[in-house]
Amino acid sequence: MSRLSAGDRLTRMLELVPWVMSQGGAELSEVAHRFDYPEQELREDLVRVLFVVGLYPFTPDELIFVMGLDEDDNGGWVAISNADYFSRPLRLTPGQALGLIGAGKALLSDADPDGPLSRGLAKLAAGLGVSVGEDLAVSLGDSSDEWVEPLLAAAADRRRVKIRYFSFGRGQESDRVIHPYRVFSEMSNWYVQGHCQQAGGVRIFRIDRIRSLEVLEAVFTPPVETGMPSAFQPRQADPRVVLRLTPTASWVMERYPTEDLVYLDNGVVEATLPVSEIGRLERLLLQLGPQAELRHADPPVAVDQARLAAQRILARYEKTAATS
Amino acid sequence: MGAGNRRKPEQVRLERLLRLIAALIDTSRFLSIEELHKRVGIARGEDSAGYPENSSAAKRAFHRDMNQLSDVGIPVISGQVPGQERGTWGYRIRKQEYSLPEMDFEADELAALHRAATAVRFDGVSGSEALWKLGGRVGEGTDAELASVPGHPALADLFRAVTEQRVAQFAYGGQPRSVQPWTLAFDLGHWYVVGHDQDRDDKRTFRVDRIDGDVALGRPGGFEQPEGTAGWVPLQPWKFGTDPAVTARLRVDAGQADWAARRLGLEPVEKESGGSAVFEVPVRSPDAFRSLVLEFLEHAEILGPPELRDDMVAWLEGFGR
Repeated sequence: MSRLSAGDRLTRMLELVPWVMSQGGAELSEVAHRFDYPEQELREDLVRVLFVVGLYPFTPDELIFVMGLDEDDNGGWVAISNADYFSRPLRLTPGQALGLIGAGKALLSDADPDGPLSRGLAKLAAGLGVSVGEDLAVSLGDSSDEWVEPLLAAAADRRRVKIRYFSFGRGQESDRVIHPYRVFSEMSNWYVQGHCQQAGGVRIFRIDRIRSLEVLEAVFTPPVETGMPSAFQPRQADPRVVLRLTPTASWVMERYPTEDLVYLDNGVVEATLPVSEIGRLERLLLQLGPQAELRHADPPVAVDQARLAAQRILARYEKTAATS
Repeated sequence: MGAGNRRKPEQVRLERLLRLIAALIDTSRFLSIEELHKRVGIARGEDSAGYPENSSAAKRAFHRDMNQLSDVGIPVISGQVPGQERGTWGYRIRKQEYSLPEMDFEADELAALHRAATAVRFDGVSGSEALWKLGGRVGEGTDAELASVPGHPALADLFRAVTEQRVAQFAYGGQPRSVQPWTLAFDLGHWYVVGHDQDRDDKRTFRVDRIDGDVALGRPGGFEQPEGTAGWVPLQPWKFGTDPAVTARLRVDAGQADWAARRLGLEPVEKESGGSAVFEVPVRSPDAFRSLVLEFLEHAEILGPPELRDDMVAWLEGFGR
C-alpha cells in the first residue's frame, strides 16, 4: 500500500466514511483494503482526527461518533455515526465518469447483456444521467469477437493455445501453437501477443484473423514483464523505407510509426518507416498514389513495390473482363 | 498509539478541512468567511485544528483550503450573505450538488467495473478513482492492462457537455465553433465529437485532438437533441461525401470475407461457390471507397457500376505498366 498524499487523504476519508455508515460498521482491515488506506494510518486518522470533527460549538453531541476503536491499537471493528453531512460520497468528476463508463463500455460484450459489467454499467449510467448507448462510444475493436474472451482466459490461466491464423501479408492460413502473454487493443483492433512455437519468438497476432482456436492443457511460463506491447512497434530487423509525402499525406505520420522526418520545401516531408509487413506498405502506397513516392527501400521491398502490387490487382480485373 | 500524543501536521490539516466541509454542508444559507472561521474554530497551538487568530493569516489559510476543495472536485458555491451589507460574499455546499446519487451496486457489478477500470486506462482521467466513491474496490483488478486510450485536456469537458446538453464553444481549423454535442467517440485511435454545428446549421464531426485551446461550456440543458441522431456510426468515410449515392458491388475472396463484413458493417448479398462474397456498398465518396477496396489488395474487386470499376483500373494503371 502506498502512502497517501494530502488530497488523497481527504478524498479517501470522504469516500470511506459514507460506506462505513451505510454498512452500520465494518472490520477495520476490510475498510483499509477496500479503500487502499494503510491500516495503521486509517486507525490513527479515525481515532485522532475524525473523532474530533464536528459542528460548532463542538460539544460532544455535535462531534462524529467513532465507535469500536481506541488509541491503543485495540479493536478491529469500527462504526461511524452522527455525521449526516458525510453520509453520501462525493459525486464523480466528469473525468472519473468518463474514465469508468468508457472503460466499461469498451469491454462490454453484446454476448452477455445480463452480465455483471452490463448491469453495473447500466446502474452507473442511470445514476449519473448518462445515456450509455448514445453519449459515448469507445471502439477498441469488436469485443464480441468470439476469440477475445477465450484468449483473455487462456492468458490469465497461462494455457497454451493452438490457432489457425490467416496471414494477410502472405494470404495464407497456418496452424500455430502460441503462449498468449497478453491480449490488448490498438487502433480499434484486438491483438494477442505471445511466443509462437513455429516462429520461435514473440509475435503479435490480430485476433480477427484467427480462424479457429483450441485451448490446450499445456501451460507456459510467462516472461518477465516487458511493458505494454504495441502492434506497431517496429523491430530492429524490419526493413526501412523512405517515403516522400506531399502535405495532403501528412496523416501518415499520425497513423504509422515514422522514424526520421526530413522537412523539405513546400510542406513536403521525407519519412522513414519500418515495414513489418509488406502488405501494409503496399496498401499505404496504393492508397496514397501520387501523394507518396518511395525514395529508398531495403530488400525485400522493391523501389517499385507499388507498381508490382498494382499489377497483381490489375491482373485480377483483366481476368474478370476476359471471362465476362 | 506509540509515544507522544502530538498529531502529525497532515492530521491537523485533515481535521480542519473536514470541519470546513461539514460547516459548508450543514447550512441553509451562504456563510461569510468570518462565520466559517468561527464554525471551523480557532487554532490553539500546533496540535489544534482551526484557523489562526490573526485575521489576515486566517484569510490566507482559508483561501488555501478553498483551493484544495476545488482541486478534489468539491462544489463550493458563493453568493451574497443574507442580512449583511451588499457585496458580502459567503460560501456553502449544496448537498444535492455534492452527493453521488444512490446506485446500490451488487458486489459482482463493482468487481466487473473494477476489472474494466484496471484493464482499460484512459490517459489523464482515472476510472479507478471513481471506484472509491462507489463503495471501494471489490475483487481483483486485471494484472495486465488491455488497452490504453489516449487522452486530451478537453475530453472531460466535452463529455460533460454531451451528458448535460451544454453547447460547447471551441476553435477548430482556425475558426470559432458553437456545437451542440451529441456523442463523444473513440474510434481507430482518435477521439471525435459529433454534433450540430450551430453556425453551419449542419451535423459535423470534429477530431478532438485538432481542437485549439480550451472548450467553453454553456448552461446545462442548453439544447435538445433531435430524435434519431444518437450514437456513433463507425468511421466509414465512403458513406459521406457530396457525390450522389451509388451502390457499388464488391467481391471479396473467401479468406477476407468475414473481415470485409465487419469493416463494411454489411452482410454479403451473395455467397459464391468457393466462399467469396459479394457486397452492395452505398458510396458517396468514390475516393474513400477506392481506399477501402485497396485495403484488400488483390483479394477484392469492384464488379460495378462501370464508372467505379474503371476509376479503380485507371488509378492502378497510374502506377506504371
